[in-house]
Amino acid sequence: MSILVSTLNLAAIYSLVAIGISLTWAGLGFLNLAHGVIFTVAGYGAWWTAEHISTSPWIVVLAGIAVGAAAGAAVCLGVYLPLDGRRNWEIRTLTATLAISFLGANVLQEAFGPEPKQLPSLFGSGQFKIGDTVVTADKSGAIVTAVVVLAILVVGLLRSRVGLGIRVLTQNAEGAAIVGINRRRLAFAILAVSGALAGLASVLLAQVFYVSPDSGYVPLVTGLIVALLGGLGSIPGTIAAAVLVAAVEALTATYLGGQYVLMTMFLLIAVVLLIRPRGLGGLLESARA
Amino acid sequence: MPKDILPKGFGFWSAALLIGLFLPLIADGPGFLGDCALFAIWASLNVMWSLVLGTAGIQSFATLAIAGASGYAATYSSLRWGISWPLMLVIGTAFGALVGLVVAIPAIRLRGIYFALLTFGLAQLFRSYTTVTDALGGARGMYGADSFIPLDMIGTKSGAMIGYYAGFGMLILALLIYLAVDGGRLGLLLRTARESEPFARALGIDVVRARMAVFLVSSAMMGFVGAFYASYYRGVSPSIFDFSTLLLLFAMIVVGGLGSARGVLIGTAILLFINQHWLEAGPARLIAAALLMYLVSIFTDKGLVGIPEQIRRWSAVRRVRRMGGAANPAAAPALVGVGADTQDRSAPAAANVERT
Amino acid sequence: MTAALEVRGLSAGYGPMQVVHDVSLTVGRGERVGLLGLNGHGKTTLLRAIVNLVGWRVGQVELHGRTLMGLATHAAASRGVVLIPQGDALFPGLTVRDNLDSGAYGSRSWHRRGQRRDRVLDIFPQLASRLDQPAGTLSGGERRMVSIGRGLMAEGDLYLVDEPSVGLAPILAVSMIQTLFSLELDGGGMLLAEQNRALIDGQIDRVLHLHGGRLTDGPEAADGKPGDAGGRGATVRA
Repeated sequence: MSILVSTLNLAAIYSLVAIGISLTWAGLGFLNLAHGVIFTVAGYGAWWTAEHISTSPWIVVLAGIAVGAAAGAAVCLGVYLPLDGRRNWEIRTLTATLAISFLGANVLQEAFGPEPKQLPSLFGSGQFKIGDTVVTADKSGAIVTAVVVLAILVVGLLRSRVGLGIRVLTQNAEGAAIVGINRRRLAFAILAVSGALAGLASVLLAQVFYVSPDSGYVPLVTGLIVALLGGLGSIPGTIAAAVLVAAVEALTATYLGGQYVLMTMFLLIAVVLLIRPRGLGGLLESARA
Repeated sequence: MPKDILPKGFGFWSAALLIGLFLPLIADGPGFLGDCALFAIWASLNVMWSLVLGTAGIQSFATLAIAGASGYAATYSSLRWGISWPLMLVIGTAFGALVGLVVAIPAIRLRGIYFALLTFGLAQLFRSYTTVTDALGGARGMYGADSFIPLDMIGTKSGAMIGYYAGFGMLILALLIYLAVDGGRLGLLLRTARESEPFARALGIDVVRARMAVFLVSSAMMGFVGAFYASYYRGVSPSIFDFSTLLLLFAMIVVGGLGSARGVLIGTAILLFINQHWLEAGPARLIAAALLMYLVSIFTDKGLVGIPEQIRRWSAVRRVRRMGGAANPAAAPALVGVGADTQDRSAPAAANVERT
Repeated sequence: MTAALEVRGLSAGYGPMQVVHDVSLTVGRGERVGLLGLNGHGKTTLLRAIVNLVGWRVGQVELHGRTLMGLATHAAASRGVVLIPQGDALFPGLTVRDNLDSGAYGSRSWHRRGQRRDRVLDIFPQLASRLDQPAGTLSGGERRMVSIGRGLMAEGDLYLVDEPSVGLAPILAVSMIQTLFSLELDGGGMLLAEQNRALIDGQIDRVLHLHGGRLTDGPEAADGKPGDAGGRGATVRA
């Protein structure tokens, strides 16, 4: 039972991080390695807000989301727009976002020092019991928040004009241009939404861990794994992969020990990719031709 | 015109060879020579990696996994069975080829980014495996292996000289392999395949086999480099599998220019210099390296060595425009054929075709 | 009165390859113009060049007197140029409804998309039962209907239709073309590429012949409708 709660908690955060990576890849065609830094910057934004403006949970969460969205838009401005359609752009976007992720981590360290920062508690310190398992408020709060936000995201993607535009872009770039979709303008929306989700994940994760200059590294790597396992561009696939990865992580940590997490995770990747070379997405959307 | 008689890049390579041969005579002490040996190790690995990424077109991040595993194999056999350093190199090479073979099997089935993920995870796997395995020294690693630098020469100028020239020799070996593969039949086959895979198939080129061959050759050499590393430092530790080291190597290749041995050497030299020589600058040196990476990727299309070509292309476009390219349709293909960094849509559209 | 589409001295191609050579043509308001030519003679490239969906292009393209040069494909689309491409370029993972709605993405038509979708379903009633099915699961004929339907979702000023009959059974091809020609053009124009003259004969206002990437007088030049009846004619370079 406590494994289930940990799994859901991790899965919620991994989904938030991975959907951004997945949407960016499927819609814009590049792998955003700066996603981890966006995550970290948003965490610092929330921390700075709590220090200087207000420790109200709403304001702290909104600050994390806003800073994440702004950082995502900055990546659009600094990497996507200058490189879109240029020669060798795939490797160049990879390098540029990698550079930004180095840059961000070191600039943050220079600016705020290497010591970790703690965010105020958002959900209080309450806890409740399901059966004989104690569920803490921070975990349940994170799960509920993530589920609500993901639901809003899915409805927005399915119902709104911009959402349709984003889904169209993940399918066929040329078709999107033919129906009048301005990819460069939507790139801002995609990267800002991705950044906002990462920002939320950052604030939620900071309830358990601290914010530090390299705290985005593990979420980036896990997010990449989840996004790829999910089949890039598929939201149901990404969520399924997040649950799978989180379950493997929670089970390994409980029964084998934390140091084995990477090994079991790798085995999971190997098994999934050898069975489904394009990730889980295809399984869930069998319709994709 | 003697320039036409000599092979392309003759000037650069002969200058590099001369500098390489006589550098220790003017160098100032073991510290610098040690950096040069480290340069030779990284550069050899990068040259092989660029063979995999560029020539074979395989998006593999297994470089450090292969080299590190081979280093471990060599160190382990030296400590366990007391074998000497030449045998360590042989074992490392064989082990590299073996790991390469195992890694290559999924490459047939997986494409691009997914293979990148798998190979990237491999290094993480090795890192955590070696960290938790006591027989492999755990987190501190294994030390005490045999070395081509005699024990009593450690820290002396002559010891550093041996390390330097050994590394220099290895780098030349790696470059010769690069030349033989990239400039040889395999390279030609793969370049054809990159233009159009169906066309290459129609010609009877077994693209998969050619790719595998390149991957195995470079894996074996990466294994050799790994064993050399183990012998040079008398052992290995899990930090060889570090993510940040891998990214640093990747940055070296891309900053210099992927797909050109010269670019790989230049990129390796620049980033290694920043990394080793500005130690007192602290994080500022990493910021400088990251800024350099960012600027290179935004402003150059083939890394630093591609700049002259880029300028030529750019000025050709300007020349045609000034002559009134738009008014003369016949000049247009020339204009856009050589010029136009902006080929709108083509890259994303291609990415899309590959995905669907 | 300006023409719906005016093309002057348009050349286009991909990289070092030039496919379309110095083409000039006009499509008047409410006019349906056929573009005949064999495979590989540049019909598709010419249509794609009008919306800047080629490697490069030079010359002049005007829509109702306003230039389209320098505009990206999406911008041309939001000006009202509707390309119904060969191969359909559908979004296979999205439902038929989403595919159709994407055609109304332009802000002008977005809020009227329900109405326009109903109109498309009137034309292709077969799609009504498929609305919630992913487009990737449709048959070839149904896909073509979605592709054309998507084009009709926009309030287009110019329809560029690329070989609507290709890959369809003959009877289906005939009805598809008839559907296209029965559309109200409302002052817009239509340029329809086709290799099978019989399919469009008698329904079209005017026919242009494309050969080797150039407009020619065509084999039927003597039948009273020369290929360059638009007045400007092709500049055939020596």
